[in-house]
Amino acid sequence: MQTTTSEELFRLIALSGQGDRKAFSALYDATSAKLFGLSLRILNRKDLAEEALQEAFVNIWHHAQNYRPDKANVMTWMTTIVRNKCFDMLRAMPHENQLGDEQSFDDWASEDLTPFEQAAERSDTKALLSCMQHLAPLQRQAIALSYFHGMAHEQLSSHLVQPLGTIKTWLRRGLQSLKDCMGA
Amino acid sequence: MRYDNLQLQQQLAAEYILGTLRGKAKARYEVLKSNRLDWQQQYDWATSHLNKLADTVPAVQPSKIVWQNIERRLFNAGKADHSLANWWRTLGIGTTAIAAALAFILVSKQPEAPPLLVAPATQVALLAGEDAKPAYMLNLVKTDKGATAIRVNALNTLKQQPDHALELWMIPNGHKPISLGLLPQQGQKTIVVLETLAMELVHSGLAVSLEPVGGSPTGQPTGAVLYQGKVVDI
Repeated sequence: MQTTTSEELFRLIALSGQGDRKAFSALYDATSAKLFGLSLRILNRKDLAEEALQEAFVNIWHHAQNYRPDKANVMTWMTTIVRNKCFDMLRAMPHENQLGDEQSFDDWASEDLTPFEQAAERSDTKALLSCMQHLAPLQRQAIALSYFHGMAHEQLSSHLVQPLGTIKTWLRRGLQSLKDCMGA
Repeated sequence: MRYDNLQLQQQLAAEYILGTLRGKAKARYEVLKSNRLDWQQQYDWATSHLNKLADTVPAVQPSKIVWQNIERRLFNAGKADHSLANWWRTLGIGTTAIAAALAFILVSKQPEAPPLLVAPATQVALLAGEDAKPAYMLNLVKTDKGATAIRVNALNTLKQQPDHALELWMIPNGHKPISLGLLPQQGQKTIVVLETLAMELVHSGLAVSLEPVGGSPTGQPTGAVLYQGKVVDI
């Protein structure tokens, strides 16, 4: 799918904030596939992922007028809403800690990050991935597990079979290294 | 003080976004974030950068029912479309005729050619009143001749001033306002900015004042400032 420029997304969200339904529909067309991919990745069930996407877009319509361009770009703002909605649903489910086999996030421990690069639609994602490349494989996996599955330290510790202190150090150093690598 | 430690701010912001902060630590972080600008800035940084992870997931088209449900919930749609279709049918007009009529309207409404804009805007400003409701959206763009231009969109929330003009000013730090021209009260307009001013524009405040028809007679704002804003990067 052709990616929409951030200028166009901004125009659509500003108009949606004014109550423009056509703009909102265009915003949905431009972003829903990417955001659905995210909710599927987090929830791993089509029906739940669709419900999360639906809830998120209802929120986006109601809060479009509060969108602040100086805080985050439109896609980041919408991503945050979708991700939060998914985590709400994940926490409401029993066995939230259990991952399906296809959700091991082992792929993030691989040295080859090109599949992620191929999926990326935005050019600045490459910068993040090349910084991720500098981290140790399990550091990358720990970051992916918490970003895509909301895992806290204790869960990471049991999932990756590492002492809690090690997990905390990995995350702290990994995130600091990402920050240094990506710069201000 | 510990809370002034930049590394700590960065660390907690990143862990908050990732989701590893829980319980009391999370609550304490939220208080600091909402009370301190430096903490807020680190939070914004982490939000923008860590959420790029979401872009590494392949796009998947959701089924059509999702959008139908959203429309139904927000607009109670479906019924409206149906009745519109029926209305056309009762008029006995075929879709071809409707398409032809629409095409005619679209063609006949083509405006005069504006300056040719080449680069998409990466800088925008929303000008809003005291009630925080935006009235104008401005996009900074480049023309085909390399000049900087402001594309102005009057939003439909703009309060109409039929007996007055609305004038746009840039206010460079510590200097007097400089007029950028009169603004339309509906629709769009493109204002080409002198190159000497274009450099300053991004660091300046922007304001819209209420002026007599034809604009300020003095070269400085004479009426109330109705809307203000600032250029930001998107």
